[in-house]
Amino acid sequence: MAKNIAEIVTELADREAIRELPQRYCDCVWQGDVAGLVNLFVDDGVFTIVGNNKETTNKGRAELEKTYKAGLTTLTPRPYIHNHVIELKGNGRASGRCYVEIRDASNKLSWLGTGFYNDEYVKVGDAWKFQSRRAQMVHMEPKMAAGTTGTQEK
Amino acid sequence: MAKSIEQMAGELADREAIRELPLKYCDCVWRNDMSGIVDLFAVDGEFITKGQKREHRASGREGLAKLYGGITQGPLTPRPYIHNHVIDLAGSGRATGRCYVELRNLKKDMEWVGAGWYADEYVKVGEEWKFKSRTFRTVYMSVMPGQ
Repeated sequence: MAKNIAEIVTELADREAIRELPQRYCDCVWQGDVAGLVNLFVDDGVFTIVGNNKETTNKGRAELEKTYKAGLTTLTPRPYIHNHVIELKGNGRASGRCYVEIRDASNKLSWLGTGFYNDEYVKVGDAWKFQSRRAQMVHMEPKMAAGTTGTQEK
Repeated sequence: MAKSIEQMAGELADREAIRELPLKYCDCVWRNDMSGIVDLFAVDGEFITKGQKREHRASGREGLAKLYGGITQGPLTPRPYIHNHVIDLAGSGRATGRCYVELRNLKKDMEWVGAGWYADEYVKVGEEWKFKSRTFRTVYMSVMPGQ
Protein backbone atom coordinates (compact mmCIF):
# COMPACT_ATOMS: atom_id res chain seq x y z
CA MET A 1 0.00 0.00 0.00
CA ALA A 2 1.32 3.43 -0.90
CA LYS A 3 2.49 5.62 1.97
CA ASN A 4 0.53 8.77 2.75
CA ILE A 5 2.17 12.17 2.89
CA ALA A 6 2.43 12.16 6.68
CA GLU A 7 4.24 8.82 6.65
CA ILE A 8 6.62 9.98 3.93
CA VAL A 9 7.49 13.22 5.72
CA THR A 10 7.96 11.41 9.04
CA GLU A 11 10.31 8.88 7.45
CA LEU A 12 12.27 11.67 5.78
CA ALA A 13 12.58 13.48 9.12
CA ASP A 14 13.71 10.25 10.79
CA ARG A 15 16.32 9.62 8.11
CA GLU A 16 17.57 13.21 8.35
CA ALA A 17 17.93 13.00 12.13
CA ILE A 18 19.70 9.64 11.90
CA ARG A 19 21.97 10.89 9.12
CA GLU A 20 23.14 13.68 11.39
CA LEU A 21 24.10 11.38 14.28
CA PRO A 22 27.46 10.20 12.84
CA GLN A 23 28.11 13.75 11.60
CA ARG A 24 27.58 15.13 15.10
CA TYR A 25 29.71 12.31 16.49
CA CYS A 26 32.59 13.46 14.27
CA ASP A 27 31.92 17.11 15.11
CA CYS A 28 32.13 16.31 18.84
CA VAL A 29 35.39 14.42 18.34
CA TRP A 30 36.89 17.33 16.41
CA GLN A 31 35.76 19.81 19.08
CA GLY A 32 36.84 17.61 22.00
CA ASP A 33 33.25 17.59 23.31
CA VAL A 34 33.13 14.39 25.36
CA ALA A 35 29.80 15.24 27.02
CA GLY A 36 28.30 15.90 23.60
CA LEU A 37 29.58 12.55 22.37
CA VAL A 38 28.10 10.62 25.27
CA ASN A 39 24.77 12.45 24.86
CA LEU A 40 24.46 11.02 21.36
CA PHE A 41 23.97 7.59 22.99
CA VAL A 42 21.05 6.29 25.03
CA ASP A 43 21.74 5.80 28.73
CA ASP A 44 22.72 2.16 28.24
CA GLY A 45 24.42 2.82 24.89
CA VAL A 46 27.24 0.57 23.76
CA PHE A 47 30.46 1.33 21.91
CA THR A 48 32.54 -1.57 20.66
CA ILE A 49 35.84 -1.32 18.83
CA VAL A 50 37.17 -4.25 16.86
CA GLY A 51 40.70 -4.28 15.53
CA ASN A 52 44.27 -5.19 16.28
CA ASN A 53 43.08 -8.76 17.00
CA LYS A 54 40.88 -7.73 19.90
CA GLU A 55 37.38 -6.54 20.63
CA THR A 56 36.51 -4.20 23.48
CA THR A 57 33.08 -3.02 24.58
CA ASN A 58 32.08 -0.08 26.75
CA LYS A 59 28.50 0.32 27.97
CA GLY A 60 26.66 3.14 29.72
CA ARG A 61 27.48 6.78 30.27
CA ALA A 62 30.29 6.35 32.79
CA GLU A 63 32.24 3.87 30.68
CA LEU A 64 31.67 5.81 27.49
CA GLU A 65 32.81 9.06 29.09
CA LYS A 66 35.96 7.44 30.45
CA THR A 67 36.82 5.79 27.14
CA TYR A 68 36.19 8.85 24.98
CA LYS A 69 38.07 11.14 27.34
CA ALA A 70 41.10 8.85 27.23
CA GLY A 71 40.82 8.24 23.49
CA LEU A 72 40.61 11.90 22.53
CA THR A 73 43.61 12.70 24.71
CA THR A 74 45.81 9.82 23.57
CA LEU A 75 45.07 9.82 19.86
CA THR A 76 43.80 13.36 19.04
CA PRO A 77 41.72 11.78 16.24
CA ARG A 78 40.11 13.92 13.55
CA PRO A 79 37.51 11.81 11.72
CA TYR A 80 35.64 12.22 8.45
CA ILE A 81 32.50 10.19 7.85
CA HIS A 82 31.46 8.76 4.49
CA ASN A 83 28.91 6.51 2.77
CA HIS A 84 26.21 6.43 5.41
CA VAL A 85 23.39 3.99 4.65
CA ILE A 86 20.27 3.75 6.82
CA GLU A 87 17.56 1.14 7.19
CA LEU A 88 14.39 2.16 9.05
CA LYS A 89 12.86 -0.78 10.90
CA GLY A 90 9.75 0.83 12.37
CA ASN A 91 8.74 1.30 16.01
CA GLY A 92 11.54 3.82 16.59
CA ARG A 93 14.32 1.48 15.56
CA ALA A 94 16.84 1.70 12.72
CA SER A 95 20.24 0.43 11.75
CA GLY A 96 22.98 1.79 9.54
CA ARG A 97 26.54 1.59 8.43
CA CYS A 98 29.04 4.35 7.68
CA TYR A 99 32.71 4.57 6.88
CA VAL A 100 35.37 6.65 8.58
CA GLU A 101 38.81 8.03 7.83
CA ILE A 102 40.78 9.29 10.80
CA ARG A 103 43.62 11.80 10.88
CA ASP A 104 45.91 12.86 13.71
CA ALA A 105 45.72 16.44 14.99
CA SER A 106 48.98 16.11 16.87
CA ASN A 107 50.98 15.16 13.77
CA LYS A 108 50.07 17.53 10.92
CA LEU A 109 46.83 15.64 10.40
CA SER A 110 48.64 12.56 9.19
CA TRP A 111 46.46 9.55 8.37
CA LEU A 112 45.70 7.28 11.35
CA GLY A 113 43.47 4.70 9.77
CA THR A 114 40.09 3.74 8.40
CA GLY A 115 37.19 1.44 9.09
CA PHE A 116 33.43 1.37 9.40
CA TYR A 117 30.69 1.54 12.02
CA ASN A 118 27.76 -0.82 12.29
CA ASP A 119 25.18 1.27 14.12
CA GLU A 120 21.88 0.62 15.87
CA TYR A 121 19.66 3.67 16.38
CA VAL A 122 16.67 4.19 18.65
CA LYS A 123 14.16 7.02 18.92
CA VAL A 124 13.90 8.44 22.44
CA GLY A 125 11.04 10.93 22.58
CA ASP A 126 11.60 13.11 19.51
CA ALA A 127 15.36 12.49 19.30
CA TRP A 128 17.27 9.68 17.63
CA LYS A 129 20.22 8.24 19.56
CA PHE A 130 22.85 5.58 19.15
CA GLN A 131 21.81 2.36 20.83
CA SER A 132 25.15 0.91 19.82
CA ARG A 133 28.16 1.61 17.62
CA ARG A 134 30.46 -1.18 16.57
CA ALA A 135 33.65 0.20 15.04
CA GLN A 136 35.38 -2.32 12.81
CA MET A 137 38.82 -1.01 12.00
CA VAL A 138 40.13 -2.05 8.59
CA HIS A 139 43.53 -0.40 8.84
CA MET A 140 45.30 1.29 11.74
CA GLU A 141 48.64 3.03 11.63
CA PRO A 142 50.90 1.94 14.53
CA LYS A 143 50.01 4.94 16.72
CA MET A 144 46.31 4.21 16.44
CA ALA A 145 46.74 0.49 17.02
CA ALA A 146 48.66 1.23 20.19
CA GLY A 147 46.23 3.96 21.24
CA THR A 148 43.10 1.88 20.87
CA THR A 149 44.62 -0.89 22.91
CA GLY A 150 45.54 1.46 25.71
CA THR A 151 42.39 3.55 25.85
CA GLN A 152 39.92 0.67 25.85
CA GLU A 153 41.30 -1.08 28.89
CA LYS A 154 39.08 -0.50 31.93
CA MET B 1 4.29 19.72 21.47
CA ALA B 2 4.65 17.50 18.43
CA LYS B 3 5.43 19.24 15.17
CA SER B 4 2.82 19.29 12.42
CA ILE B 5 3.58 17.66 9.08
CA GLU B 6 3.85 21.14 7.56
CA GLN B 7 6.44 22.18 10.17
CA MET B 8 8.40 18.97 9.65
CA ALA B 9 8.37 19.42 5.86
CA GLY B 10 9.43 23.07 6.21
CA GLU B 11 12.35 22.12 8.46
CA LEU B 12 13.44 19.34 6.11
CA ALA B 13 13.44 21.75 3.19
CA ASP B 14 15.43 24.30 5.21
CA ARG B 15 17.98 21.71 6.27
CA GLU B 16 18.35 20.43 2.71
CA ALA B 17 18.92 23.95 1.36
CA ILE B 18 21.44 24.72 4.10
CA ARG B 19 23.22 21.41 3.57
CA GLU B 20 23.72 22.36 -0.04
CA LEU B 21 25.41 25.70 0.70
CA PRO B 22 28.86 24.31 1.66
CA LEU B 23 28.57 21.80 -1.18
CA LYS B 24 27.88 24.55 -3.70
CA TYR B 25 30.72 26.55 -2.18
CA CYS B 26 33.14 23.68 -2.88
CA ASP B 27 31.66 23.17 -6.34
CA CYS B 28 32.27 26.85 -7.14
CA VAL B 29 35.86 26.66 -5.90
CA TRP B 30 36.50 23.59 -8.08
CA ARG B 31 35.06 25.38 -11.13
CA ASN B 32 36.81 28.69 -10.36
CA ASP B 33 33.36 30.31 -10.26
CA MET B 34 34.21 33.17 -7.92
CA SER B 35 31.04 35.20 -8.61
CA GLY B 36 29.08 32.03 -7.82
CA ILE B 37 30.79 31.87 -4.41
CA VAL B 38 29.96 35.51 -3.66
CA ASP B 39 26.30 34.86 -4.59
CA LEU B 40 26.12 32.21 -1.88
CA PHE B 41 26.54 34.97 0.72
CA ALA B 42 24.00 37.53 1.92
CA VAL B 43 24.65 41.05 0.65
CA ASP B 44 26.35 41.93 3.94
CA GLY B 45 27.94 38.47 4.25
CA GLU B 46 31.37 37.97 5.74
CA PHE B 47 34.23 35.52 5.42
CA ILE B 48 36.61 35.42 8.36
CA THR B 49 39.86 33.47 8.45
CA LYS B 50 41.23 32.64 11.88
CA GLY B 51 44.73 31.25 12.00
CA GLN B 52 46.94 30.82 15.01
CA LYS B 53 48.62 34.15 14.42
CA ARG B 54 46.26 36.32 12.41
CA GLU B 55 42.65 37.05 11.58
CA HIS B 56 41.42 38.31 8.22
CA ARG B 57 37.90 39.54 7.49
CA ALA B 58 36.29 40.15 4.08
CA SER B 59 32.87 41.81 4.18
CA GLY B 60 30.15 42.56 1.63
CA ARG B 61 30.12 41.71 -2.04
CA GLU B 62 33.11 43.89 -2.90
CA GLY B 63 35.26 42.53 -0.11
CA LEU B 64 34.31 38.96 -0.89
CA ALA B 65 34.89 39.39 -4.63
CA LYS B 66 38.36 40.74 -3.90
CA LEU B 67 39.14 37.88 -1.53
CA TYR B 68 37.97 35.10 -3.82
CA GLY B 69 39.47 36.78 -6.89
CA GLY B 70 42.89 36.22 -5.34
CA ILE B 71 42.30 32.69 -4.12
CA THR B 72 44.30 30.98 -6.88
CA GLN B 73 47.20 33.41 -6.79
CA GLY B 74 50.27 31.99 -5.18
CA PRO B 75 51.38 28.37 -4.98
CA LEU B 76 47.98 26.90 -4.06
CA THR B 77 44.97 26.31 -6.28
CA PRO B 78 42.62 24.78 -3.71
CA ARG B 79 40.39 21.80 -4.43
CA PRO B 80 38.20 21.26 -1.36
CA TYR B 81 36.22 18.33 -0.01
CA ILE B 82 33.58 18.98 2.66
CA HIS B 83 32.70 16.62 5.51
CA ASN B 84 30.71 16.22 8.73
CA HIS B 85 28.21 19.04 8.25
CA VAL B 86 26.03 19.64 11.31
CA ILE B 87 23.16 22.14 11.30
CA ASP B 88 21.16 23.81 14.07
CA LEU B 89 18.00 25.61 12.99
CA ALA B 90 17.46 28.67 15.18
CA GLY B 91 14.04 29.76 13.86
CA SER B 92 13.04 33.04 12.23
CA GLY B 93 15.15 32.30 9.15
CA ARG B 94 18.39 31.83 11.05
CA ALA B 95 20.62 28.81 11.52
CA THR B 96 24.17 27.88 12.44
CA GLY B 97 26.37 24.99 11.43
CA ARG B 98 29.83 23.58 11.32
CA CYS B 99 31.58 21.56 8.62
CA TYR B 100 35.05 20.27 7.98
CA VAL B 101 37.19 20.66 4.89
CA GLU B 102 40.20 18.96 3.38
CA LEU B 103 42.17 20.77 0.69
CA ARG B 104 44.19 19.42 -2.19
CA ASN B 105 46.35 21.50 -4.51
CA LEU B 106 45.67 21.42 -8.26
CA LYS B 107 49.01 23.11 -8.88
CA LYS B 108 50.89 20.20 -7.27
CA ASP B 109 49.25 17.07 -8.66
CA MET B 110 46.42 17.28 -6.14
CA GLU B 111 48.81 16.97 -3.22
CA TRP B 112 47.01 16.93 0.16
CA VAL B 113 47.55 20.39 1.70
CA GLY B 114 45.67 20.32 4.98
CA ALA B 115 42.36 20.69 6.76
CA GLY B 116 40.26 22.92 8.91
CA TRP B 117 36.66 23.71 9.71
CA TYR B 118 34.05 26.36 9.08
CA ALA B 119 31.75 27.84 11.72
CA ASP B 120 28.84 29.08 9.64
CA GLU B 121 25.89 31.38 10.18
CA TYR B 122 23.03 31.03 7.71
CA VAL B 123 20.18 33.40 6.96
CA LYS B 124 17.06 32.96 4.85
CA VAL B 125 16.72 35.75 2.29
CA GLY B 126 13.32 35.45 0.62
CA GLU B 127 13.06 31.76 -0.25
CA GLU B 128 16.83 31.19 -0.33
CA TRP B 129 19.30 30.33 2.38
CA LYS B 130 22.61 32.22 2.27
CA PHE B 131 25.80 32.40 4.26
CA LYS B 132 25.56 35.24 6.76
CA SER B 133 29.13 34.52 7.74
CA ARG B 134 31.77 31.82 7.38
CA THR B 135 34.60 31.67 9.87
CA PHE B 136 37.40 29.39 8.75
CA ARG B 137 39.70 27.90 11.35
CA THR B 138 42.88 26.28 10.16
CA VAL B 139 43.92 23.06 11.87
CA TYR B 140 46.86 22.31 9.63
CA MET B 141 47.84 23.80 6.27
CA SER B 142 51.18 23.42 4.57
CA VAL B 143 50.26 26.50 2.52
CA MET B 144 47.31 28.91 2.75
CA PRO B 145 45.08 29.97 -0.20
CA GLY B 146 45.98 33.33 -1.69
CA GLN B 147 49.48 33.39 -0.18
